[in-house]
Amino acid sequence: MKYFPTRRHFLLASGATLALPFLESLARSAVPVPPKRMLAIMTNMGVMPRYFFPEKAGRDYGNTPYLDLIKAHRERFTVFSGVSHPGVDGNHSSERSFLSCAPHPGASNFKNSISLDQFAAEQIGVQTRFASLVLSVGRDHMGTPSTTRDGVQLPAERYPSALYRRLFVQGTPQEIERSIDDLRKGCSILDFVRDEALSLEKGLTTRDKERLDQYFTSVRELEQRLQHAESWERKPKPVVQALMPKDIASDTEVEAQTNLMYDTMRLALETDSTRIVTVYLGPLLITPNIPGVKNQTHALTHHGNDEAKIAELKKIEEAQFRSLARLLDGLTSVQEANGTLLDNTALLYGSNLSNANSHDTTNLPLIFAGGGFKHGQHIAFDPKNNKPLANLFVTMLQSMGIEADKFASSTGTMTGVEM
Amino acid sequence: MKNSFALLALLLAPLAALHAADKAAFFEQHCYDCHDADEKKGGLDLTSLALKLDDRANFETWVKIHDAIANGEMPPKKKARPPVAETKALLTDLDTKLIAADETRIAKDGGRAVFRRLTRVEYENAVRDLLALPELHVQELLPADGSRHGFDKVGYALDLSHVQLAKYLEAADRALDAAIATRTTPPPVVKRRLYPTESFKWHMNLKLGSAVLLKDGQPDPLWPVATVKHDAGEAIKTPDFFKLKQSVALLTPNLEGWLKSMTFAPMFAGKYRLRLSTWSAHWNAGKLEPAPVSQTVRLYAHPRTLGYLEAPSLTPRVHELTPWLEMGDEVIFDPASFFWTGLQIHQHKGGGGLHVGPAIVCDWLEVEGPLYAQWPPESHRRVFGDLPLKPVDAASGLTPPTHPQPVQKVGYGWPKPWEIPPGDSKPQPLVTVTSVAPLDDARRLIATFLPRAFRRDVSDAEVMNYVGLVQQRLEKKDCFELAMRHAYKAALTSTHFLFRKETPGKLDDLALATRLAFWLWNSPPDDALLALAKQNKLHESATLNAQVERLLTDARSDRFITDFLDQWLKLRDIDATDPDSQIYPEFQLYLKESMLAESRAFFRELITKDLPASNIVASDFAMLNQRLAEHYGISGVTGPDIRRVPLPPGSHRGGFLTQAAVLKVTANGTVSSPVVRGVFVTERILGQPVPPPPPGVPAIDPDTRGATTIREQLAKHRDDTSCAACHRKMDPPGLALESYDVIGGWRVQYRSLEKGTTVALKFPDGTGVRYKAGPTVDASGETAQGEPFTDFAAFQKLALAKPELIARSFVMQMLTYATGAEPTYADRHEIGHILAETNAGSFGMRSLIHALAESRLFQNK
Repeated sequence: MKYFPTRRHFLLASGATLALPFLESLARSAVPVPPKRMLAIMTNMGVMPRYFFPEKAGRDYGNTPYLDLIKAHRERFTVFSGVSHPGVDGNHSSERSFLSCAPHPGASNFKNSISLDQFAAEQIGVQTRFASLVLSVGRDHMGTPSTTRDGVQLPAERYPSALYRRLFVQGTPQEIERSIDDLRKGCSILDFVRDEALSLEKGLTTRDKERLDQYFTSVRELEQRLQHAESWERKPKPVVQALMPKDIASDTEVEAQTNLMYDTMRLALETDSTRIVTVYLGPLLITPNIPGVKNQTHALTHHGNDEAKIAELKKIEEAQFRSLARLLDGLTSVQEANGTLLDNTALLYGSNLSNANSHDTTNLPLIFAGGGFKHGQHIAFDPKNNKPLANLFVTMLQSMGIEADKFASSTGTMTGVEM
Repeated sequence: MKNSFALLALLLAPLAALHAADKAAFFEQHCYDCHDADEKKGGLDLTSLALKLDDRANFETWVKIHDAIANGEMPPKKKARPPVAETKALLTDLDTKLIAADETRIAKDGGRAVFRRLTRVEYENAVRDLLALPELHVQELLPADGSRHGFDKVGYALDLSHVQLAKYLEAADRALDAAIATRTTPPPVVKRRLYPTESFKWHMNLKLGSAVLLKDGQPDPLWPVATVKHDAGEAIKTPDFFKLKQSVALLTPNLEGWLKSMTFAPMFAGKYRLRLSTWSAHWNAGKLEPAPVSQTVRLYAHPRTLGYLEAPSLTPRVHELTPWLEMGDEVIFDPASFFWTGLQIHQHKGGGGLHVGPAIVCDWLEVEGPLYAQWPPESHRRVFGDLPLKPVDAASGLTPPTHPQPVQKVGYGWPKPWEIPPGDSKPQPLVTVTSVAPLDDARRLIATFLPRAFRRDVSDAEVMNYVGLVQQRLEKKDCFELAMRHAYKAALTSTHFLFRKETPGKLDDLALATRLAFWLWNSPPDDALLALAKQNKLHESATLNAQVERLLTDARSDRFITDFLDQWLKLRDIDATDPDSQIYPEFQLYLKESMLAESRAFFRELITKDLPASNIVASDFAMLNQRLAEHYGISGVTGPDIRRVPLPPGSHRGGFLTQAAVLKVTANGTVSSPVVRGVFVTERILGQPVPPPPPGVPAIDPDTRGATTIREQLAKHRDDTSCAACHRKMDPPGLALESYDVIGGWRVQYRSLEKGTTVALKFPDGTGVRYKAGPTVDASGETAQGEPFTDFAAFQKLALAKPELIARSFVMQMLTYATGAEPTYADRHEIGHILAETNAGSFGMRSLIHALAESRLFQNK
C-alpha cells in the first residue's frame, strides 16, 4: 500500500525546510537518498532448531519447514547458524543481552550495557521525530532488550493505537500548545531539581558521588529528549491513508497482535518518523489461540522431547514465521527512490534462545534481511565455536552510515555479508 | 593520600615478611603437591600466589583459601590432616590480615553501603504514605530495578537513567490526580442489595446449564434445570425475570466474557462495604445435597483479589469486607475452589440436570459506598489543607485544571445504570481549590509537605525555593491548583525524595530512623520515629528496641515481609511460569494465592513467636488454609483463612523448603531441577557460596516422556570428578527435594504423559486426570560433607544438626536487605556476635532482628 503518491508529498509531510523545486524539475534534479533504517525483532521463546536450520550451507540450501514459509523472499534474506553472544548464558535472562551482548545476564551482579538500537539512536536519533521506537507484543518477561548506557531497560509501547496516535494524530493547535507547555514545564522541573541536587554533593564519598552523577546525566539526557520533542511538536505529522488500528484486546491472539504491530511499525519507517525500531515478541507466557494448541508456550518449549508437545509448539512457531513473511511482503511493497523499504532497512530477526527445551543460548536462530546487502544464502559458522553476533551488529551500524568498527563483544564485521 | 599508602605498605611489609616463611612452610608440606605451578588443581597455584589484599580478586582468592581450610575441605579427606596448632595459627594470621584489608577498603569507600535511590516498591510506599493513598498504584510505571546478591536494596542494583526520571514525572502526575478532590461534596453513596437474578449474565449461565435458579434453597420449578442445553428462551428476555430476587447456584467456575456474574461497577473510587451471603452444596443431577467439604468463593475486581470467603455446606454465611474500588472496577463472584477441566457443562454433559459436582450459591451482594469519613479526604488535605473548593471561574483568565469526568460503566449485558441520585448523572462542574493569598498559602502548604516528603526538617530557604516555582507558574497564569502541582511534582522528582543519604561512620539518629523504617516497613519513617530521632534518643538501646517492637507489630511490617520474601525466597517469581495444565490440572489461582499467603504467614509466625531459626528448615507446624491442606494431604482444615496447624507425623511438611510457593519458584512449569533447587538451598538457606558454571557446558535436554529421570540425566554430576567437585556441594538438597513436584505436591512417582501406569484420580465432577504415574522418585544423596540421606526428612535432620549455620545464613540475607550492602569478610565477627547473643534462645527470629538492629553493622554506613 502506498502512502505517499510522490516523493514530494513525503518531503512536505516530514516538514523538510529545503526549498522545493517545481514538480517537473524534481525528476531531473538529484533525488534525496532515502535514509537507512534498522529493525531488530527478538522473540523470547526460542525456535526449534530442527525445523529452522538448513543442513547445507551456501546458496543452494534446502528449505526447512519454517524457511519454507518465507521462501518468497529467499533472495532478500540470509540465514545464520553457529552465531551467538560469547558469555551470554543465564537461560531466560539472556533476553536482556540479546541486543547489548552483556555477558552473564543471570549472574547476581549483572550490569547491562547499551543496546545496539540505543547506540545507533545516540548517533542518528536526532534526525527524526522519534530517536527510536521500542515496541512489544505479548507478555513481558525479562523487560525489553533495549537498554541505556547504564543498562536501564527502556519501556515498550504495546498498543498499536497509541503508537499510531504518537506517529500520526495531529493535535489541535490548542493541544499542541498544551503539549509544548507540558514539555517546557518538564524541563523547568528538571532544571530546578538539578540545581537543587548540587547541594546534596556535600558530604558524599567518591563512590556516592558516582551514583549521584547518574542523576545529573539522566536530567541532562531527559532535557535533551524533551527539547527534541518540543522542536518537533509544531512540525506537522505525516499523513497516512491507513486508519488508526484497533487494538486487539486479548493476548491469546498472538498472530493478529503481531501483525497489527508490524503494520503500524512499518508506517513509522515509511514516513521516516524513526529510523530505528526494536520489537520484543513475548509469546512465552501465553497460551495462544491457535487450533490444536492447548498449553502455555513456555510449557511447550519444555516439551521434554514429547512428540505431541513438539507438534503443538510447531504450530506456534509457524505462526511467527507467517507473520514474518507478511512483514517482508509489506516492506518490499513500499517503493522508495532507490529500491524498496526493505532494501533500506537492515532487519534482524531472531531469538535469545535456540533450543528452549535446554535453554540453549548458543547457535541462535537468526535471519538477516534487507539493508541493501546481498542475500540468498545460509552462512554457517562453527556450532562448537560460535561467531559473535555483535559482528553482525557492527555491519548493521556501518550500513546506516554510523562510524563504528566495534560494538560490545564484536571481533570485526560479519563475514559473508556484503553490499 | 600518598603518606597513608606508604604507611600501610610499611605496616604490612614486615608482617608479610614475618609470616611468609611460616605460611610457605605450611603450604609446602600440605598443599603444594596439588597446588603448584604444574598441577594447579582447581586453577590454584599457591607457589606464586602473592598476598596483595588490596586487589579485590586476590582478596577473594585468599578468602576462599581461608574458608576451605577452616571448614576442613582442604586438604581433601584422603590426605593427612595438618597438626591442629599449625592450622589454627595459619587461619588466625590470615583472618587478621583479611579483616584489616577489608576494613581498609570499607574505610576508603566510606562505608559498607553506597548512596542510593529508592527501589520501586519503596517509592510506591513512600508516595502512598505521603499522600495517604494506601491503594495507589505507581510501581508498574517504573522500570524494574536490578539486583545484587539477591536484593534490590543494594545501591549498585539501583541505576538511574532518563527513563526513570521521565517515569517519576509521570508517576507524580498520577499520584496527584488521585489525591486531589474534584468535587465540593463527597460522591453520592450507593447502597443496595444486588441479587444474581438481576444480572443479564447470570441468565446465560442458567441457559447453558451451568447455574441453577433457586427458591427457598431448592431448585426453582419456574426455570427447571434441563438435561439438554436450553433453547434461547423468551423467558430470559422478559423484564419480570430481572425483577426476581432469588439465589442462584453456580456449577462451574465463573468464565470470561458472556458468563461472568455479579456485576457491580462503582462510578466513584473509594472504600466500599461489601456483604456477601453464600453457601455451598453437592449437586446431584437435579438435587441439592450436603457438601462433603466447604467450598470457597473468590470476590475480585480484576486483577485484584478482594477476598476468599468460605461457603459452608447448606447454611448461608454472610461475609463483610471493605475493599477499595476504583472507578469502573467490576466486582466478580467466582467459585474459586472448583476444579476447571476446560469443558463447560453443556459441552460434555448436556445440561445441568445431568451434572454431578459441587455447587456454590450466591444469595445476594450488598454494596455501600463510597465511604468517606471526611470530605475532602485526607489525601487532598495533604496537598491543599483546608483551602476552599469552588467551581472554576472561567472569567478569571487562568488556565484551569483538567479533571476526568467519572463514568458509569454501561454496556451490553450490563444492567441499566444504577439509581444514580438525581443531579449526579449530569457532568459535574469543574471545581478547583482557591486561594486569596496564593504565595502565603503556598509557603504554608509546602512547609508542611516538604519535611514529610524529604523525611527531615527543611530550611526556610528550601521552602522558598519551591514557592518560587509556584510563583513562576502563577505568573504564567496557571490557576493555584496547577501552580502547586508543579511544585509538588518537582518535590517528588527531587533527589531529596528519591535518594537516601547516609554519611560515613556511625549513622546519626535521622539516618538510623530512615534505615530502620525502610527495613521493617519498606517505607519512610513515621512521625513517631522521626520525633525520637530529633530528640536524639533513637540510638539508645532501650528506645531502639522498643521501636523495633513497635515496627514489627504495626501492620506496615507486612510490607517488609512481602518484599523480603519476594527476594530472599524469590516469591516475586511466582508467576514466572504456568504449570503444564495436563500434568498439573489441580493448579489454580486459589492455590497459588494461598501458597503466597502461607509463606508470608509462616514468616510472620516465626517473628511473632520468636521461634528458632532452625524452623526455616523444619518445623512442627504449618500455616494453612483448606486448599493448602488438601494439596498437602492434611485433613481437618476448613475455610480459606490461613491459620496455624500442627503437623501430623509423616506429613512431609514443615519449614520453608516444603512450602509450595518455594517449591514452585525453584522449578519451571513442567519439570523440577535438582541443581536449581540445590543452589537455592545451598546459597540462601545454608549460606554457602556456590561457584558459577564453567563456560561451554551445554544445558541438558529434559525428557518428560518417562524414560529417563532428571537424576539419570544428571549422572555426570556424580561420575565426572571435575563436575562433581562443585556439584556435590550444591546438588544434594535439590536431590532430596525431588520428592516435591513443581507445584509443591508430594510425589512418589514422577508424573508422565507417555510411559507409565494409569492414575485413578477423579475430580469432583467425575473427570479423570490425564497424566500417568512414571518412574519412581529417588530422593537419596550425600551432603557436601559426605553424610548420606535417603529422603528429604533425613536431609532435614542433617541440616538441623547445624542450627548456627542456618541462623548465620539468615542473618547474612537480612543484613543485605537491612543495610543495602552484602556481608563481607570484615562483617563475620560481628555476625558471630549477633549469633552469640541469640544462641541461648536457639537463634529466635525476632531476637535476631533485634540483635541486628543493635549491631554496629546496622548502625554504621
